[in-house]
Amino acid sequence: MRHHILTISITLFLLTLLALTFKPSENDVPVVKIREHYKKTLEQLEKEITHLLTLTQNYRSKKEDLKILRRQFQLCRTLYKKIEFLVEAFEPGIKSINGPNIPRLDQSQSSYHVLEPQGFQVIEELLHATDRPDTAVLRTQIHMLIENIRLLKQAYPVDKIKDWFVIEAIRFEVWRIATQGLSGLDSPIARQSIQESTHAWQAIFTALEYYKPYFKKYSPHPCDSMYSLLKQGLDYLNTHTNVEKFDHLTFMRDYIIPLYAEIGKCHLASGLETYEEAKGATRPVNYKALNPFDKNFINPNYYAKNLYNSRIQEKVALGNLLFFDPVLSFNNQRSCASCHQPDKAFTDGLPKSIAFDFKGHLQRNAPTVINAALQSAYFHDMRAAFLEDQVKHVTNDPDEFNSNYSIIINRLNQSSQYKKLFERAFPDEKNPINEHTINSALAAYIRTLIALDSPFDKYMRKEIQDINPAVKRGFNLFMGKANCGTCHFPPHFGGMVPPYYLEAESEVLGVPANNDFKNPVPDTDPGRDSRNYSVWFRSFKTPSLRNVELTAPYMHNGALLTLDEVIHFYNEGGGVGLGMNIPNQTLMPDKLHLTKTEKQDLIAFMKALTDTSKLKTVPAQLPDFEKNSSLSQRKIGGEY
Amino acid sequence: MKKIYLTTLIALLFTASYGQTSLPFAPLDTNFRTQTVRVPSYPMDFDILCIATDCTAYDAYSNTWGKVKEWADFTSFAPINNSSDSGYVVINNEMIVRGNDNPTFGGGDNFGDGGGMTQFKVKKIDGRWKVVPQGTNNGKPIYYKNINFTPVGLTIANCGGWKTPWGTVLTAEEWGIPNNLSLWHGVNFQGGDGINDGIRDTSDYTVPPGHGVFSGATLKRFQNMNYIVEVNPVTAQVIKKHYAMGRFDHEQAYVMPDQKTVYLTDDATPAVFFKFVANTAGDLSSGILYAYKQNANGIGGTWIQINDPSHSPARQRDSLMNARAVALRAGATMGIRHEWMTYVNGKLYICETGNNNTGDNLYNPAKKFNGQLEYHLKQKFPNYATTAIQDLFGRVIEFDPVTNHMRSYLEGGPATNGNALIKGYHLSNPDGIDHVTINGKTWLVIQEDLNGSSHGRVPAYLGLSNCNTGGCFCELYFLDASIQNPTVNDLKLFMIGPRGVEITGAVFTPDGKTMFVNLQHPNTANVAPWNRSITVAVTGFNILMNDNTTDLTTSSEDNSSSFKIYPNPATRELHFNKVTDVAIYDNLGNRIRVEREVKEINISDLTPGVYFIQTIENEVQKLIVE
Repeated sequence: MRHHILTISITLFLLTLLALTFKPSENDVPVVKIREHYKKTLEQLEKEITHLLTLTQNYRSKKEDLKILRRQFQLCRTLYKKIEFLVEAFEPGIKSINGPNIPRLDQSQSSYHVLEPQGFQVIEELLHATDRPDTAVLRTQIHMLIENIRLLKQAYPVDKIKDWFVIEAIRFEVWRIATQGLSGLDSPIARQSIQESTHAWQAIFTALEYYKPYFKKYSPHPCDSMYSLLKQGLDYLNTHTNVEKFDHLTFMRDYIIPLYAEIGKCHLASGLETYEEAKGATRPVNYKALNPFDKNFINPNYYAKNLYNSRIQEKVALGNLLFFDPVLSFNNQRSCASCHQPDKAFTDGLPKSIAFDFKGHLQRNAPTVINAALQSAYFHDMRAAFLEDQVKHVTNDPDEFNSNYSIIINRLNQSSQYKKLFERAFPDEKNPINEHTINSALAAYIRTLIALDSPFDKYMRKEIQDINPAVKRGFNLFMGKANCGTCHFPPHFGGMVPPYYLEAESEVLGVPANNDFKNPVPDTDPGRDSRNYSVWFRSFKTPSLRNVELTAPYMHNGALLTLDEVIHFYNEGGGVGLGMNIPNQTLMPDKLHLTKTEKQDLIAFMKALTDTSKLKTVPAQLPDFEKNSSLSQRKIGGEY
Repeated sequence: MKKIYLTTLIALLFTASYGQTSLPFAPLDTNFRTQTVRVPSYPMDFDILCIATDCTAYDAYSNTWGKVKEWADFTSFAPINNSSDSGYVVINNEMIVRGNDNPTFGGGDNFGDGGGMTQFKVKKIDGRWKVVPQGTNNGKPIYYKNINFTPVGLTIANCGGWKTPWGTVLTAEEWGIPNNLSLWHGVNFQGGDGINDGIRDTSDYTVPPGHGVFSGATLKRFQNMNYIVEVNPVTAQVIKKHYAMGRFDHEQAYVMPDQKTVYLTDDATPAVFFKFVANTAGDLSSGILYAYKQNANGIGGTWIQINDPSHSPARQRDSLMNARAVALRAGATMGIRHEWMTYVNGKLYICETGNNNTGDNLYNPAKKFNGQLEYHLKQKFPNYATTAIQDLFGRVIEFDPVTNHMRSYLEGGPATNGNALIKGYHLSNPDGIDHVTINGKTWLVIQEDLNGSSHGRVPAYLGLSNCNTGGCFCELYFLDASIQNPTVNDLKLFMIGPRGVEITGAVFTPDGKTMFVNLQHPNTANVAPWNRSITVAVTGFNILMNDNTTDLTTSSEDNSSSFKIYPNPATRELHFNKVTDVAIYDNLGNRIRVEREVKEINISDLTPGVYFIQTIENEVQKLIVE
């Protein structure tokens, strides 16, 4: 009886509150108009690129000709910006059309292939880097772009565009404009970022206008402020066209973030489904989060290898113990916490960590594990794709734990306390202590080491109303003149690429072997290049800059001792700028010409990213090995 | 207005996809939620036969036990007395694993170096396929047998293959090995650290007698790899390495009914299409190898002779061991990675899987020599003479052995008809192909092996840009073989593999009731056992063949206004009596899923419990998931 009443009340509830909304009458379906707009713009884009090809064929090395070429190219880019939000929603970070002008590796089943760069950014550089472009190369590239647009049309028919898809694409475009467009990521040479962002903004404004009656009818949340923010933002972009002086902070805090929030509110209130509901799958971005600086904006579980919904607390507690337990190392002296010390923001403060048995040092600097769960690649050379997988590299490395899983499993089985803890955390496992459960427990613990409550976060969430002016200036430099934001992407200021945060990036910076900038010597570490692919030679993961104040020394080899040195390195244009021969450097070799105050401002901004609160979880004691008292003689966190 | 629209849509649906060629099961909706295999729920089912590294095999040659090697690829079924209920299954194990002492990959009990094959005996017991013992060793029952290739100087990368009309099985060695160092390293072969994972015995190999012009020849060890090898599926013993069919990236060998002609595919860019004609029917150890040369106008073609019996054995050996280069120098036709073939209705259907970027392989004279691109590729990629080709989706090509005519039969890519029931159909990188006859109708069975995740080949949310760490999803499609000019819209989706899996080796029992298929190299993060290569027997065809009324799509053509769901309770799939938009709510009233314009949905990922299904018209039905 009771059950029956519950059912009825739920049914009523569904009918009244959670009704699924649908397209308005057939003649007034916004998505139909969006599809038309997309199709038309794409056709026009094809036409204009074909025209660009004709112009290239007619090019006679005259200055006027080049001007015409550049203008025609800009027209093509503008057209692309009008449909960028949809193209990028089809294929996040689509490399074949608007990828960076850098070769990359494509991994197929049994081998890697080097893919040469293609698309707008390559053509932009060909047209703008010199006054005498190589027209043969240019023609080939334009041919490729036409082909790539044809492939795009073939791969993504317009009927894949749905209402929810459009709204989400728009919302992500808003964040893309802030984190990629305005920072000049895809217009590094022509520097057309503000004009192009304005076109992208206009396009999403127009698209959302189609949904006005729809939201009016279905959304209990008034969407007026969304439309007025769209208008205000457009006005702002139209009236602040100076790239050097653009106030990224004001625009992000007062326009982008509120608009991002409002689009989300209108979408969710209107009853339209979300990606998760339509696809039954998750993405890194938590769509319900209203502000990218919210603590729950990125869902770390997306990056987990095996996700457990049960006994999380037990797993975390077990992982916490294991993290500090030297029993994982062969000599019972070394734990994860040896190199990742809680009171040093989970680093060890050394250029390179001390090796097993105090014999020399490791190859690289120990990175912090705070917020490590918010990424999809581990180690400086990105050799592990999951937190769970990186554990094995540490346990088996002769310079780190110098152990292996059979030794570790054998030892842990000698502790009834550990046995009980594993049984509780992994009740479904036949033999609860195994490689997989050890890795999972450690990963579960590291996933709790997330700290996103820095002063800058609070400011961007408007929990505090003001922040040191140097921080504000520093952020604007970071996203503007200093070019930091084109690789260290908000909100975590690391290499996970916005707005979807699916892909982790690495860069070739030309880091020197030491901080003697007068006589720079290239570091010999090959980085990701473990299989002899020069594209990845000296390429290292772009780390998050959160807590960078506490994690000196810097770079993969700890060669730069202070933030001043780091900024000097970038200000000079990286390894090439310092005068070293780094043929595949991906960092622009140009000098940044930062003033002394500007350098201080940048540091002030980075120091506003510090938060290590509530993370010091050193266990009071470690489990006992009643069957093997020699193992019990160990120090919490190990010796170091 | 809306009602009319819906009705028209439904009418369209039925004429477009079911009116003419009713498949006896409901095609699957594209759904990428699962880490396990998916086939249409009723009446299809599957039995797991072999899990790589989990199953223990006996090797009679060395009298040892070990783990079944990884990467199950080609499958063959050798029926006992032409029975469809019992027989021997042999599978290729493509992964190159060094023997015994590599604890990281599979523990310390691997069989010897190189590639391999596994054989087991299967029997249908009470409608389910079971692996049955074939004798004992030291009192331990033998379920799986390792086929030891030591007698032929080992093999590498056993990939595709096919059964011969005389009951043996051919296995093809892929992945061209350029030198002994690569052979020793196993360079580029996943599963190892790329160092010392290959074949460590790099001593010269002397070919025994009985191998035509190769008899008595001494080869560098790497030159002893990349051939077609014949094995006995019943005794699980190797018969012979057939040097006469040339050395290249062998993907498959298809023996024609005359027992003399063998068509051979080359999984490379450029790929050359070969034909071998044996001197004696049923004996593939000597004969003449030819390469295909298409006529310039794309109509018909001729065959270039690779080895000439009037030449010295040394010269013939040289030609055969460099078969692709010899062919290209003589103007052979170039394709982009040829994979499997099947012979049906007098035609060969060949999967041309494509290549994300062919680099300069197809226009650089130092690489292509005098090779000419396939006519359909020239048409599709007009800039082929100067520019790398991005053949992202690949295709199935048709070859007529009588007229030597080759054409593109089915171009890969997305479906374009926007049909709600087959939303998102997308044929990408076809690799395996077979055919089967059900209820008198012959179907091509096309299996994917994705080359990448871009351009919609997998849903964008998977994000990670390569198939190994992110996870590609491959599909198996049925296609009515009587369609002359099919498109992707004509495909019927039958199976979706677990994340990371290449679906391969689909092969049927003589009665067409059971399909054996391999799910190769899954993502290791999948739930067990779908994290290792697996051989499954898909059954239920027998029920379909006895019961023609079991057409889920037409049996529910009830367009009454009230909303009905069935079955209820349900476990895997839920059907509606009309095409509609639905939302699923859990028993707390949280909306958890929305599907638009559907008539069936997959609910296999819902945890058991009570749910509510609500339609566009606000009709609500209670659903119990078991």
